[in-house]
Amino acid sequence: MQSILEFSLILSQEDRLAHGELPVVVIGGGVTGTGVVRDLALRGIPCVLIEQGDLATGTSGRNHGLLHSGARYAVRDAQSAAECLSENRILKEIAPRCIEDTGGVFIALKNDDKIYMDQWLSACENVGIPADELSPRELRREVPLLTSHIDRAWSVPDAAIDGFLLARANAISAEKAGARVKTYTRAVSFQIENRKVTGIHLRNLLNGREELLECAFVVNASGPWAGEVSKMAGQDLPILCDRGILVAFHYRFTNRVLNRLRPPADGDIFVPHGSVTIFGTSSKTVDDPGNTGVEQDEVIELLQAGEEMIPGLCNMRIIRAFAGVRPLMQSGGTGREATREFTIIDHGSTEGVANMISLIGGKLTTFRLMAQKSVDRVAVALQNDKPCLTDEDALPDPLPVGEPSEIVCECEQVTKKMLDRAIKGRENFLLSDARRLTRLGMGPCQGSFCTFRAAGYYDEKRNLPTPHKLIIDDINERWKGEKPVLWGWQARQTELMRRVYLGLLCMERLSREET
Amino acid sequence: MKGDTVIIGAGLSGLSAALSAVSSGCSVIVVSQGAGNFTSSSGYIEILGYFPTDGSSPLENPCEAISPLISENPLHPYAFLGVELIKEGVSCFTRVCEEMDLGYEGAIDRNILMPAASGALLPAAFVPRSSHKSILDCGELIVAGIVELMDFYPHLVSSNLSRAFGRDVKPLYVSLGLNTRRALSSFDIASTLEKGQTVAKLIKELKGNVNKGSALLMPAVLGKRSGAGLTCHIEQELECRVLEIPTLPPAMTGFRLGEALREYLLKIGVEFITGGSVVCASIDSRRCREIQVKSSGGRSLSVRGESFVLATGGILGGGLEVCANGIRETVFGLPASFEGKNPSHDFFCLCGHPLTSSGVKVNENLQPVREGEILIENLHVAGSTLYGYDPYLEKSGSGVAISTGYAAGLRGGKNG
Repeated sequence: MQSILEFSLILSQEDRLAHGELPVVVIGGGVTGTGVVRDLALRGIPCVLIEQGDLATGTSGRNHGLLHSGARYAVRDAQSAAECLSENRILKEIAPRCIEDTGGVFIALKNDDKIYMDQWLSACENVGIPADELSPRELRREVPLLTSHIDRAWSVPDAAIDGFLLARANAISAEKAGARVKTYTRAVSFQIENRKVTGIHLRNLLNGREELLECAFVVNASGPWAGEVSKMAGQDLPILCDRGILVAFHYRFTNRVLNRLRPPADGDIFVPHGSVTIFGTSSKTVDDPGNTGVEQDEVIELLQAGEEMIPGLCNMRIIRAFAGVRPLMQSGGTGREATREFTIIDHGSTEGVANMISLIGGKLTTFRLMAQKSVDRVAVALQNDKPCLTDEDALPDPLPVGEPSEIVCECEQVTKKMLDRAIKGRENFLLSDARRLTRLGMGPCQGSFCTFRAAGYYDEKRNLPTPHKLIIDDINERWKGEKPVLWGWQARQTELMRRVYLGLLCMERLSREET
Repeated sequence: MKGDTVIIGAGLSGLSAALSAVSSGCSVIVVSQGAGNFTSSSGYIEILGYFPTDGSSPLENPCEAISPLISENPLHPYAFLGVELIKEGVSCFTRVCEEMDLGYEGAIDRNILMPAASGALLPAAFVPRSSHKSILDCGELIVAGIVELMDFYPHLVSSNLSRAFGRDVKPLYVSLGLNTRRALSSFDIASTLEKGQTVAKLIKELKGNVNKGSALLMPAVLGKRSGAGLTCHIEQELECRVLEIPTLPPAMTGFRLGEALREYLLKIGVEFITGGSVVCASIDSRRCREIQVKSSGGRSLSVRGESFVLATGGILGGGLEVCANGIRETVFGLPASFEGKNPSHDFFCLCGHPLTSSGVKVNENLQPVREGEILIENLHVAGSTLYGYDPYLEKSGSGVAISTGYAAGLRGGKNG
């Protein structure tokens, strides 16, 4: 559908770059940043995206993976809810590969706030969110782990969405339309002349190379780092970093999203993904946008919050705990009171920088709309009047599973061919880069065997200088999430990993130096 | 059922206890949930590879390091044994293995550095005879992988070994011509290599690539029993030296050892109850009288004994259960200790992990104690359920298992 359109766009963009037209630089490669660069490219605006890690290694990869129906926000934030509902439908149309349309359920337990329940029902109706009542008995037959104390339940069009695949799909679409996407590239400082950002000093974090990228406009879509980035332009941003933790259970015990029907609190939501179930979340103000460590007692507190919906939750095997930092708007209250709406700050409107906007707030579900509104602003500034195409243009499949080939990761059924595709075109890579697109090592064994296999396989194909470093780095990356949940069967799993990687393979004695 | 010595756990420490209990003239029953964790083991006898654990090179003489180890760490299992008892335990073990055609070579005062499947070097004091050979004086060093075999990567091995040896190590792949739809494990390949025609194919493939006088390093798939027969055959046909490298689980090196020990014990009249969990124990006057064993099918069996050995394999074996706020010994409910719950962010840190060295504290007779007081007189603890050592960093796993198992079986015999 889009191929002819994109081809003509590529020609015109290349012409423009050849004629020295400076690009718009988007800082941040989460779903929002990649959404922005895609929208820019499809409107024929030359653009470059820079991201300090791999795509979606910030907040976009550290959340429930929930494509909201909007029902959760209907009572307190009707505007946000309406946007969620509309975007939910659009994304299901254009990005089916990134979404599992699981449907969702809202469950009111016998002691839950009945006034809120009534408000919720009318709010959903007002916003237009279809909520169909279900029989608690049937629901419990479907999810036997659920408590017997269910009062009432309704189904809603929630779904599970994969932030990694989504960001990558956006990026592929953007690149096809002429954009450049540079990962492992950090903005170090801005070059400012006459109250405009005329260039950005970049550093490639894999090879250390530095360059100055001249630009026409800057879109700061760096999520919780947006405050740090805007400071580089001498601008303050009213951003509040709010950290939430999540855990992954070792198996998929529900095929639908489960939501607690009560005023939003901790531990309300369960989302199935692949072979596991993700549960969360919590809310706590933090200073550091990269604060993604999780302590054991936070996990225990979170589990206790979920016990009412799923009795025995505290004794179930958890394979991993992780955290994400929400970039919230500071004036809108803290924690759960803060608005989830997104805000676009135009730094030119004050005595600031004329050609930069920063994005705060928003939800993964409404990223495309946030991107559209941002690019509308940029388009005005650059006198571009092309229409936005991101709501109709189908996103490409970021990682075709393809024909069967030898399985490397048994938990998540990842094949050698998928591993090949995941790192195609990348000179330097980590196993996590392959993980984000294939789910390698995301199952119960947390990479116990597939880490060794994937590294060995990549080494055979690419003749890497220090393949063991790939293994060591990857095991440590998985270990970060296992440390806070070290009990029961997961403690046994990590002992097995010690036995294999240290006892049998002696890897702790291999040099960590690069050759 | 009744026995003089009842051993709970059929891993290396449990079976070592069975050996010494039998040699003391006791009737022995071994109760276990599974078949013991042999398949993630190198099959080597590792007395002590590194001390201190963050030492930059492996120990040349493990025996000499035991006294300093004991003074620094008086609760280390070796502290309750002493060098002589360790030597005795190892002798008893190697004598039995010799009888089962799995002879070991080595000495307690000299570590040999053996190639691992990562290309790192693993220090061990005793290795199977078929692995006891020098390779550095050979013409060419070759690492051969098998196309159909999963989890063995010659290039990974050779790139790290070349760095360690300071000379070229050549990686290559051969195919056994097996038409399979999935990658095969070491166990599968070892089974297939029991067929003459597959062996012939292997040799034919290697012949073109391996010169006379080379050292050929292969994954340990050369047979399900001792690797000796097939190794010699290949050495003769190719006029080279062949060394097996223990693979990822299922490691045939450990499997062969487990099979040999079990076969020997069955031969000398030890009874095995496999597939049962101990659900309760009757203790009175600080003596254990009997245990109840429940099978997965729900049947219950009562096993009485004069003395008992707890060889349940620590956290990995299920003998210790980690809870959110502590550790529980799962059979007798003995107090289990660990130092703090904050492991390093570096999984490979040389300072160790609090959980691995957690376990049950004992006295010099391996009896479980709480603040010096003996909890159960006729119970002796062996292997990874013991407190105070890190087998993976020290490279002492099989040494501790064999010697504490030997001592536990012996002391049980004396007490019983």
